[in-house]
Amino acid sequence: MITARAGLRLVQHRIAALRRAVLTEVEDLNRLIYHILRGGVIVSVAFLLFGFILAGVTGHPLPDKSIPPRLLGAELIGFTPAGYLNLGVLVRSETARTS
Amino acid sequence: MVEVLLLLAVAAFLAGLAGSYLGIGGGIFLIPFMTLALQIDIKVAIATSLIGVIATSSGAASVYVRDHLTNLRLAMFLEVATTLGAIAGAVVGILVPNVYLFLTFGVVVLYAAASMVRVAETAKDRAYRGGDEERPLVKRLNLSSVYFDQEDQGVYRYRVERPGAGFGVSAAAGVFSGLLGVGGGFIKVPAMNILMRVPMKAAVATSNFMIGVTAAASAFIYYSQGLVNPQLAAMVIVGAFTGTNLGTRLLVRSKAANVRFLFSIFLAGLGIAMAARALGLFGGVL
Repeated sequence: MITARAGLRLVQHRIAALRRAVLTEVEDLNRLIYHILRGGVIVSVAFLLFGFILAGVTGHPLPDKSIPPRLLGAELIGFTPAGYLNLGVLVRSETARTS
Repeated sequence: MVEVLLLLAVAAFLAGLAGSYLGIGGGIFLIPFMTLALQIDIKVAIATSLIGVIATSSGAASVYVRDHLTNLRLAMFLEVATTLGAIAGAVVGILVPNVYLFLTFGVVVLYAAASMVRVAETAKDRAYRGGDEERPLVKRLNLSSVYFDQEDQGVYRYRVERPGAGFGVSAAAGVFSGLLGVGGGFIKVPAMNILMRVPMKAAVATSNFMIGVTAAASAFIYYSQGLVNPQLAAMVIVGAFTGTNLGTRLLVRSKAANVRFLFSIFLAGLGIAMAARALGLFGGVL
């Protein structure tokens, strides 16, 4: 019984500590901006690499013009290199605006 | 085409390295390289360069913001001026002949270069000057800040001075940004460092954060008009991302005096190039 109560207290402490950590993290604007910018870089580079891999595998030509955002959905569903390269570029530029 | 992409990735790497170390976007290097060496259309080059500026800025700013080198309040304050300046840039570009603009900025940039070499920045310079009364605007907006310098493991509280003058010069940086499609960091860094007395590393980090925001607004317009070449942009993003990783590591470990010296050399070269363009020499390299 004592062990169960100690266990419950330990879980409560952990949850409280996690909550404090999350609140501190969110309150710290610098860390929030860091996560947005860093996340944007990683996601963008991942989409770009995926686009190049798709071009290599499927033999589709690489695009030389940007696709308007409203037409991007069809390209992404069709798994074209143009769609993923454009998405990578868009994520990159939009991340800077969001921050 | 593969050779062009590889050359562009290398150029973007170098632009990202220099940009993250000096607080500039790197567009000032990338645009001439793309148009002169790679024979890329000027509009496509500007659009691709803007993506490069964003990549350099975001890559570097993420590290500087995390390390509390960036003064976010100051960045937001000056960004208002830069954005207004960028809008005015289009009007100024129509009304005032470029020759006067380039000549004026050439002289200003050369003066800034000379000032940065002449006045050394020591730890004492960076320290809080407690005797002076803080300007009301600085106090109200809480622009003064504190940062940790790895150079000497010191924590420095600094006071921002001459906010009005800094605001005006940032607007001028925006004008140039709008005219040339560059970030304008080459004006913002000396303005913050010389005029507003912001320590060099904090000025570089704050400028890096600002130029990405300015460039992102213009880049979306170019993107919507189909002027961004995703192949070129992808290589610029990958190259700049790698370059900024190295540049940010170099800056935090460097001596502020060395950063200032390198920046002043860059400014002197740029000032001569601007003056040369104004006087019609070398066919305009900018």
